[in-house]
Amino acid sequence: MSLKQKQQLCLQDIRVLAPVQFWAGPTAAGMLADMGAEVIKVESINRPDPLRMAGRGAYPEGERGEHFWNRSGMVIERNRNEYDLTLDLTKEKGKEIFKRLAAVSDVVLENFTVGVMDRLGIGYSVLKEINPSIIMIGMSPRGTTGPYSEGISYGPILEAESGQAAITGDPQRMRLFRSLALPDPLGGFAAAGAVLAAVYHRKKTGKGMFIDLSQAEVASSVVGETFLEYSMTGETAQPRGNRNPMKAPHGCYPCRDRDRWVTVVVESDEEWGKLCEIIGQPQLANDPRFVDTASRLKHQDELDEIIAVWTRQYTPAEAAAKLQGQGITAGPLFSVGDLFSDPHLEQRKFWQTYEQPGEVGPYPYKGTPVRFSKVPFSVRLPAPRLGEHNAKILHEMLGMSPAEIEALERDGIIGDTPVQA
Amino acid sequence: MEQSSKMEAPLSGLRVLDLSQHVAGPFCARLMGLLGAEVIKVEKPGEGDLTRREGPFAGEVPHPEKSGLFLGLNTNKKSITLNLKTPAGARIFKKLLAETDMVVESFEPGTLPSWGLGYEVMEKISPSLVLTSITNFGQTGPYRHYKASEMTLWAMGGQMQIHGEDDLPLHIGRHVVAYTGGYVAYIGALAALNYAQLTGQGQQVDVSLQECLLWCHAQLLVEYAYTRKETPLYSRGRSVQSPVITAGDGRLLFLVLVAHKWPQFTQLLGVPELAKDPRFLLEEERVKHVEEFEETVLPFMLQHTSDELAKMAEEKGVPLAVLKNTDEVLSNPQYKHREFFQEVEHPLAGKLIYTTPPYKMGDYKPVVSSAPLLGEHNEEIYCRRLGIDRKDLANYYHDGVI
Repeated sequence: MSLKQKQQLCLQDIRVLAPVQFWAGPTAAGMLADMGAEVIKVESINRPDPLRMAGRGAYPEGERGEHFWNRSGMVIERNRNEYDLTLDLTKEKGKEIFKRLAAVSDVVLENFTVGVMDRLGIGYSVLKEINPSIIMIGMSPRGTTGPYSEGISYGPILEAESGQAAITGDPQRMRLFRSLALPDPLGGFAAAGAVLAAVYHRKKTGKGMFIDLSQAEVASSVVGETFLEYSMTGETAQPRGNRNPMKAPHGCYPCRDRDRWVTVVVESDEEWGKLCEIIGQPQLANDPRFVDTASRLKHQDELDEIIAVWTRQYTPAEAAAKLQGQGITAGPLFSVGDLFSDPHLEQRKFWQTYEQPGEVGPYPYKGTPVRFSKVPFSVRLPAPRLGEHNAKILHEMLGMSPAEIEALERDGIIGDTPVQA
Repeated sequence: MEQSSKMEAPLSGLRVLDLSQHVAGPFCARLMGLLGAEVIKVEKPGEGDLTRREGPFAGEVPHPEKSGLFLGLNTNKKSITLNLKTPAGARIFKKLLAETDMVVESFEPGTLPSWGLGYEVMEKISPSLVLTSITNFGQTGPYRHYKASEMTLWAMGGQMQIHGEDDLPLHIGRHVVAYTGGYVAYIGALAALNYAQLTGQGQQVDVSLQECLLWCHAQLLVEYAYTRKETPLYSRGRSVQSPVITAGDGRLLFLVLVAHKWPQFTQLLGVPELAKDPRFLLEEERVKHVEEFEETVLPFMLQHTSDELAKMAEEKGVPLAVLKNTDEVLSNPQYKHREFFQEVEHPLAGKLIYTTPPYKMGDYKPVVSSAPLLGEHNEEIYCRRLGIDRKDLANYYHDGVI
């Protein structure tokens, strides 16, 4: 299947078969697709990406609509620039087609739990016989081998297991708050990078490989220094709330309106002096309680009160602007609404407006966090409808005739409507 | 010490100059080094990467070769000192560029061009070179010169408004944002490298940490775009979907109570009659009955230890994990099996534990080598590789060029 582009894309020579679902897998596939790879999302009408069906995903204007499986916001957000193929991988015919596609693909990317692909008969040991230079990545929760490799997982579970959660919280009052489930997108980022390293390797050597990613290890890697510090000092990582052992003031302060906040960080005595001027209390610069970092760290409660009195007069943007104007680190807490109307993101054209043709009108979605100076980002393809490219892929890549494709539809191997719908 | 595998290192042959400091850039470059790239860290003469000043320190005495954060992020690299601001330094840098595939940097936007070392200059020397630039807010836009830190990035990435407690927004802690940016930069760097292999052309890769965080919102962005409402399910404060709850022994538990797990959870709680209760089954309804949810759940959790609850959860198929401390993670048998951590002796800082890449590439086994001493490879790179005379090296050193 050819992708004749006027604009060369970074990953245009890479074809990815991606039986992925939820967040981690689609993040990896989505990064590659956004950078120009030909990504074929593989689902099944018996088991589409649950995010098509979940109901908890947002629907435009809160209306599910008739073909709700093609109107799910999370799918439209995460799967643009991709093709979609449905295949019943539990049936022989589905497996056969998957294998034939793997024969002409560069990468297989999956985020099932351990063993699923092998049990389906399309694991790495099978695929590498068909295509010795295939690169396959398994994005399992904890790796494919080991005493705890079995078992499902969710982002918050991995946060707790990995040591990532140990650094979060207010030491005064650790109780009910929520997880941000970061291991999911982080796992996706790590996986996409691993795939590209394997592609680099293959261009050098002609060899493929299996990449065994552990989402738990990805979660641990972003607190890597806590393990090193433990080996150095014997101390386990403790949560610090919003404070920092090296800097004061360092905190989150209430602003004028209800539930609006600004963060402020002072990095030096010089900055402290400037802040004192800004808040109209120049005498505090040399106050023995605050004159240097060591003393400021000892009197943080008093410091925080003093700053809060000042920030309560302003909106977050006003307070931050006054401080940033003097070179002091300050950042407003943005709500989602703030982000969508943020002048910086607007000037960078971060938000990308696109449609789901025939299903959802134009809305803004997240763009790309990586820009290439020679390759402008674009949404080349909308997020695919379920099974949207079945005929195109089977005909163009495998040479199947319309009759063969119809037979597959009749047998329920492929389709465009979920069986549950 | 691990034995290297017979498989060639995935990124062997890749030549990287790492000009970056702190966490994001060094982490990205470290990952390249761990997978076989040659990474030369270019540090400012005299003080080096500012992270060398960040504690805690081995032996508790501040020392530029003993910073835990620096050591962990700069393994598998060489170090040269070079003052890029000086004309002589810039000249030497250009000689290095001629033999480089990739430059990683994290300077404030406009810094390299102000030194006459912007991408356009690099491109003339090496047309296929990739420059990966990692910053807080990107190379362009009204915030590009804003000062930022971990906490302010969480705030401006929209994460902090929905995290923490009702009356106290919380940031995640440590350097999670920076590491995230490092992972994303790695993708961009290798993608640009692929483009260079296809077309012979390099380019500049612009990574914004704020924008990386905007890929870390579950359905928050889409829900707002579709309804112009900030969903209470993702408000700060008490969560009924992915809550963090205290057990009787004071340990914290992370639970995932998506709709199809709620019935099993009611069995764990001993209130199976609530399995289909419309107040609780769907998360969108549960969030309207937070007090009732807490009355049903919290007292029960406080009556049992974390071990008991973990066992019950496993029996009932409820996703629940006890928050593990640093030492518990280190002794996790799954991690031991995977050999995720390596212990390596550093000449000055002693035996330290490092992470390895969170994935196995074929049968390649990365070997962690300690972070370099400041300027440790000056002689190797300048004299032996670039052919600079030792006497000239001494003059450069005297003049603060090296």
